[in-house]
Parts: sequence; structure tokens; C-alpha cells
Amino acid sequence: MPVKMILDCDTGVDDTLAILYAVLHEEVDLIGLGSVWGNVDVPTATRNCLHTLHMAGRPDIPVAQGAAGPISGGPLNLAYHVHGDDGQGNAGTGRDMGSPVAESAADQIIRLAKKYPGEIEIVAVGPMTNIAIALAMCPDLPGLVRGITIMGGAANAPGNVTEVAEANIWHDAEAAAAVFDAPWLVTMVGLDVTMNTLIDETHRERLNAGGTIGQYTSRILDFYFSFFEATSFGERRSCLHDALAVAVAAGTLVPELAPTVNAYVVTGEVQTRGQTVCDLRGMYMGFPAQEGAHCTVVLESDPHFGDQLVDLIAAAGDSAIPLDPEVAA
Amino acid sequence: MTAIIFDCDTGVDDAMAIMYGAGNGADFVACTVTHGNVPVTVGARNTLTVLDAVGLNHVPVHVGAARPMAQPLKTAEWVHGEDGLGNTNPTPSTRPLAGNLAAVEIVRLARERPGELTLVAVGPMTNIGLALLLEPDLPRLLPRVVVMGGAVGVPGNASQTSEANFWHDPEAAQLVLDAEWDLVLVGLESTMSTTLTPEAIDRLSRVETPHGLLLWNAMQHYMAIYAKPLGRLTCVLHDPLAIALALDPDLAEYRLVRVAMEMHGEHTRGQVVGDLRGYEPDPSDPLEPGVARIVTRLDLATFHERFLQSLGA
Amino acid sequence: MATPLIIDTDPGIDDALALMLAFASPELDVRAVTTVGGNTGLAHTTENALRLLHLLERNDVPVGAGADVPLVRRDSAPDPTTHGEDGFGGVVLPQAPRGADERSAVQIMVDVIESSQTPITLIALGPLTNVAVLIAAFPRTAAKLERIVLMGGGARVIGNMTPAAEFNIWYDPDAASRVFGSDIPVTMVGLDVTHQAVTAPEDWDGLLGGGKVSEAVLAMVKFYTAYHLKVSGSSSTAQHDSLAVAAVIDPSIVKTHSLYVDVECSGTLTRGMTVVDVDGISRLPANANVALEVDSAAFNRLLIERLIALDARLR
Repeated sequence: MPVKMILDCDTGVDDTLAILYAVLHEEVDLIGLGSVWGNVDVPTATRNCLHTLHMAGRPDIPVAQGAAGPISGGPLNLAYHVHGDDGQGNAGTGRDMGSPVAESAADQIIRLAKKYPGEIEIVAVGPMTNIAIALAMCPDLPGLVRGITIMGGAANAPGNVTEVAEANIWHDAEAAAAVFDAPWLVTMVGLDVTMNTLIDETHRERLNAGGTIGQYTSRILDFYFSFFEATSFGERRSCLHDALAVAVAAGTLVPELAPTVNAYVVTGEVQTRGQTVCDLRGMYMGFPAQEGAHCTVVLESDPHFGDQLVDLIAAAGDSAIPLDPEVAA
Repeated sequence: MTAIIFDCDTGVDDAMAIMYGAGNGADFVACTVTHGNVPVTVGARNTLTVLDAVGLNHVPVHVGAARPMAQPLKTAEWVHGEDGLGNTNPTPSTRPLAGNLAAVEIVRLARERPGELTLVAVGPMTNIGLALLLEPDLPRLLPRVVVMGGAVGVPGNASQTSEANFWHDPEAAQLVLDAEWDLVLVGLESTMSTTLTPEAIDRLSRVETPHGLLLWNAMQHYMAIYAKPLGRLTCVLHDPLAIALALDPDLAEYRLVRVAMEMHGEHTRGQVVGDLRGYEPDPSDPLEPGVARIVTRLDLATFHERFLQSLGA
Repeated sequence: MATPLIIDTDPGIDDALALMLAFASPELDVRAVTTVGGNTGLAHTTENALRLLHLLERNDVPVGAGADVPLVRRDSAPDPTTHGEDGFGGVVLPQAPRGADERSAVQIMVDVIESSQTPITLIALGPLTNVAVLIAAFPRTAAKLERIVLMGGGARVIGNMTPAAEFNIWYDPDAASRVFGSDIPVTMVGLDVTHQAVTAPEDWDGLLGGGKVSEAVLAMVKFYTAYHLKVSGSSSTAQHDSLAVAAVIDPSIVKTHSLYVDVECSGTLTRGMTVVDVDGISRLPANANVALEVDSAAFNRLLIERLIALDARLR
């Protein structure tokens, strides 16, 4: 039974791979995309969501545009230096494909949750602003969905944006805090596993050997690989942050170690803003149950997940839309 | 005569306070100096100079903390001048500083003369906090403490919510508020009413005593700074009010209030939060931790007159 | 031309009186009522709003349920002694013939704002959660508001829920921070004025022997007075929310000052404090009109007269 999924994303290079995985995998029933500010501004994220869906031959999946900035109204910190000015590694086509639906991302989540009570897994792979808005607009939301899986946080691993904070959480710590505290099942796919789930140039070669969708994917990874080479690994490779969250949510990747623990997000103007504090003190005894815990923290998973992802995209065939860069008129 | 340990960061209004004390029955047992208005070395030199100017060249001056307990040093030369005395650069005293460090001397004196001394603290609370950490029994040995600090129920000056002395060292201020002594808190809620009248300024301008002249000159820069918020050439007598109430508590009426320091707020670190809601009767025990006396009414005319007289104005 | 309004509220006894004042006043045209959790939980505040509007024979006005808990934190809880567990001090009004609108509070706000020819005034009488969500989710729509008039905070009289914070702002400081930080004109009617504009027990005597509205008012005021007597030793009550509504009916009732306001979200003792720069120390540009003076006599007259008139009309 494929998992019904709403994917909230700030598309983004790794978001693009995640959307493709969700569209292409038969175990996922992607029923809506929501766009959010984060890696790029929200109009760019919306445009990239639409482009990816059209490329994969699924223009029927609705894209709802969401929040343009953090919920507390703080400064906008975007990441064009990681994802390129177009959010596609500066290698996108520049084409506008289709339009977002009229309703907001938060409204789409609420409407679909009411339509399919208990079935939907929300997967949030950008800052959690839209989710926090949806919670405030629909207090019953936690009971209406199956759960929420997030790409974010770092339980044991260091942060990336700061020493202790991962980017999605840090960008909107207040929204993340609201998500972690709401009474639903939160699955946290954080840097503990994503920094170990890598693809490298051999994967790009396999993508290039696929259809035009695979080739496009390889193309947008070029800039992204350069960023990780310079900042994290010293070699040309990248993490698969967002796609990993989709796979865990869908059950197509079963984590090896994912205890359910009490967790919270540090908010406020402090050094540790955006830290995900997870109570892992039970690690010496195999993680006995913690009262009231509702956060499953993925600590270990198969580091070769990239093979599964790349095979899927390489086998996807050709794009339904032209992929040469659009020449400005 | 009231035996006083005077902790200060001289400082224009600290100089005013020393002169007020000298002319109104203060027996300065020792002066201890802290960072604050100016670095502690500058404050120490100024304290010696001012003491000498009023003929108190037997009063020992002890150097104390050079920086706050838990945050970087900040000073206020823009208010008090680079020399701490309005950029008048008076001839500095050649007297040596006393041997013991400030906090050590406070503890030593308190142990030597238990129950006899009044502590008047008009700079950041760092030395007092250190003394409390060194001698947990200090509140019992030094039962009366008068502090210039805080702003209860009124805006701050160093920040919107915090008065300068407490803002400079909130951790030390918290130790002071929590100690089990009879604490009189002379904050902006009372000091801001002590603005000098035009008549008082006029009398000061015609002062002829050497120490009066020294102060009048040092005040020029201070008054120029206050002209903007107060709207005319005058200034406020923060530190003199503290020593005045230590020497003659009957100059004011007081009430007991529960007070605590906000340590973590983004806008409010350094703020004294007093419970003025009136949901419960005022606390009754001044020795209770977290309870302080604040001024409700002040005999301003008498205070001003004594201040002017002490300068020979 | 009547001022078109949305009232966001957490009834609540003083909210109930404020709503009555609003519906009693031809100067105001209440287009929608939205509810938030605060004085009591959302289920009660929504039910209270519905029953109240039924009492006032205004079932034509949509009531939309909004947020139950604050925007970010889950450690706020109402104090049941102020308004009772049910929010109306135990006063039970007849059940309304309808439920809440199927649209959420924010959705109704968007619909009303977008469909109005005249810019809408949003009066916020409870925690600012719904208002912050409107601003975060629909910034362009929120920007069309004429202004937000909020009951909350304090400049010099700073606290009631805690020594440093007024209840509405304390309940959801992050939402309040968002509202003051937006570019929408804000009028803050806080404790500085609401604690001055108190109503004495005998002021309500004009309602004695009245109809269903007067009965409801007197019963709620009885509970509210008992609470005030216990905490402050005075039987005069502060009509916080009614003053916010009165300020829209007749702006001359309060005197406002253009000041910079921020909200303390990180403090331990000062959580929820409105930091109002009365002396201009921060030198930051003013972002709110803060009511600091009030004509208490005029306010009390307005409130009582309008309630008497409303009661007579509905008898």
C-alpha cells in the first residue's frame, strides 16, 4: 500500500532528487507539494517544484506556494551559495512550467489531512514554517495525519550552519519547536545519517548513462558537489539529505537504529539556537522506553541508499519537457 | 558620624557623593573601587584625588574588580569624560593605594567590626558580589547596605529596561539582591527625581571652595550629556542620594518589594523585576532574600540643601 | 460610514462585554468574530462566542475557530480563577443554533479583508496567535488591514499575569513579537490605561431590572468582581477588552504616543514583557501607537449607556 505523502520543500538541489524519488517510487503516492523559503526564496522553490514534476511527467500533482520567511518574522537567510542562484546548481533551464494552485501550502496540508484522515505522512525537507502555520490554523492536525518526517536536526552529529544547529531547524527554530512539541509522531532524519549517505562522481556517471532526466539530475549536482568538496569532504561528493527523509517516510529505507526519545528544539537568541536536543542517555541499555516520547530519531541507516536512488532516476527515461536552457528572448 | 565602606567607580556623581558624605557626617572607613564609569585604575586614582580635595587623605582606597563577573568590560567615558572627571584632568593625588584588594578588605572590615558598618555601593556590584562569595556570613556582619542601582517600574538608562550599574554586572547584582541583609535599593525610580533646579545650578556656579570648584568644573561635561534627555543644563544626583540615605534614612519613606534579576532576556538582561502588582501585601521582613526597600517619598529640598552646603555653595 | 471590523477574541468575561459593546455601537460594523485559546481553551472560547452572538441575535456574523495553543510554545495555560473553567464565570447562555464556520479563523480573516472595499480594522482581544499566523501565511492580505487594535502589554504598568507581563502577550510572546514587528499600524491598549479605566460596582446599577443582556452582564460581572476583590482587594473591575473596542468607537477616549515596542521572548522573569521605549533610548523608529492616558469617565459612560441601549433593543 503506497504511502500518501505531502512533501514540503525549498527546492533546492537535494529537494529535486527527493521529489523525483517520491514521484518515481511505486511505494510513494505523492499527493501534493508545498513550497517554502529556505535554500532559495519561495518563488524560486515553487518554480523548481513545478519544473521537476513536469519533467517527471506528473504535472497533475498540485504545487501550493507557502511561507516567504520565518514564522517569527526574523531575517531571511538563503543558501544560493550551496544550491546556485536558480536553486538548480546554476544549471537549470530557466523555464516556468505551469502555476501553483490558489491555496497556500498550509491550507493544502489541512485540506488533504481532512480528506484522508490518518493516512498522510507529511514530509518536511525545508524550514518548517508552513507546518507551524498549519498547526496554528488547524489545532486538530496532529490527530488527522499518520505522522511527520523531517529532514533536519542533529542528535549526536555536529551541526552544519552552526557548531550545533542543522540548517532547516536553524532557519526557523520557532517553527521547528512548534513541530517537535505538537502531539504527533515526528521522525527526525538528521545529519547523523544524512552526512553519511553520499553520492559521488561514479553516481553522476550512472545518471548520465540514463535518460535525459538522469542527465539533468547529474547536471544540477555539479555545483552542489563543488560546495561539499570545499566545505565538508575535500572530495567531490554530496549528501542525500532530503531523499533520505522521503525514503524513511515511505518505508523504502528501514533505519538500523532509530530510538523514540524525548526531543526539543532550542529557540531564542542564544549560542545554541536551532540545536535539536535529543535524550539519548538510554543508549547504553538499548534505549528503554521514555515516557511521553514521540520523536523517532534516525541514528543509523544504510549508507549506500544513494545506489537505490540513482538507479531509480537513471531508469526514469526521458523528460516530458525540453531541458535545454531557455534562451532569454 | 556613620561608619561607611564606600564602593565606587569615580565617576562624576561618585565624586559628588564623596563630597556630600564628607560634609554630612560620613566616617569613611575605606573606599573600594570597581570598574564601571571608567576602568578601575582610573576610578581608583580619581577616588584618591577627590578624598584629598576634601581633606580625607587618611582614608585608604582599595582597588577592586577590573571587569564584570560574566561579561566583557564596558565603560562610560562618554558620560564622565576620559579621565572620569569631565576631562578636567585635575592634579592627581600622589597617595599610594592600600594593599588589600577591595573584596578582601570588605570582608576583613566586616569581620573586624561586625554590625557597625554601613556598606554604600554606587558602582557595578562586582566587588560586593565577590565579597559575598568569599564570606557567606557577610550579610549578618554587614547588616545595612545601600546600593545605587536598578530601575524598578521605570525605564532603564543603559538599556531600555536596565540601569547602568546592574546592567554592567547582572550576576553580581543577583547575588546582592538575594543576600539576607537589609538592602536599600536607590534606583532610577528615585534618583531621576533629584534633578538640580536652576537655582541650585546658579549657587553651584558661584562656589568658591577648592573642592567645590573641582566638582563644578568636573560637572560641566556631565551636565552637557544630561541636557539632551532632561531638556536643560542640569544633572541627576544618583550616587549622592545613595549616600544621603545611608547617612540619614529619615530623608525618605520606603516600602519593601520583592525584586529579582532578569538574566536571560534578549532585551531585558540586567533588568530588576519588582513585583508591583499589589496582589499580595508587601513583604514584611527586610532580611528575606529577594526583598529590598525602595523609596516611595523623598525630602528633596533637604537633600539638595545638604548637597549644596557640602560643596560650600 | 461604520468602521468594518474583525474581532479576534478569547471569551472571557471582559471579551463578552467588549463584544456586546461592539454590537451595540452603530459606529462599528462587525464582519466576523474569530476565536483563539487564551482565557480558556479554544473549545470554550468558540462555544462562548457562538452563544453570545446568539444572545445578541447576530447569528448572521460568522464565527471562525483559530488556534488553541500558542504559535511556538506549549507551556502557557489559562488561569481558571479569572474567568472560570468555562470562560464565562459559570454563566450559561442558551445554546446557539449553529456551530463554528467550517473555515478556520485565518481563512475567514482573509476572505473578509480581501472582499471589503474599505480597509478592515482588526481588534485583537486575546493572545495574538491567529493574527501572527495571518501575517506569516498571508502577508499581502495582512498588509491591507487599516490597523490592528490590540488589548495587551503595558508600558509603565507592566504586569498582571507575572510582575513583568500582561496576560495576552505572556500567553504567546512569539506571536506578539511578530505583530509588533510587522509593518501594519498597531494601536496598543495596555494595562497603563485599562488599570485606570475601572468600573465600580455601582456603575452597573443602570442594568438592574433589565432583560436577557443585562442579566448576562450582571452575572458575569459578579464573578469578575469577586475575582478582582480577591486579588487586588478592590471591587472595581478593569474592563480591558471593552476599552480596546471603545478606542475604535471614539478614539478621543485614549491618548496614544508613537513609540517603539518589542516583545521579550527569551527572558525567564520577563517572558512576554512588552519593552516599550517610552524615553526613546533605543533610537529605533516607532512601530506602535501606545495608549498611555484615558478619559475613564467618558469610557464608563459609553460602556454602560451602550449596554443599556442594547439590552432595551433586544428585550
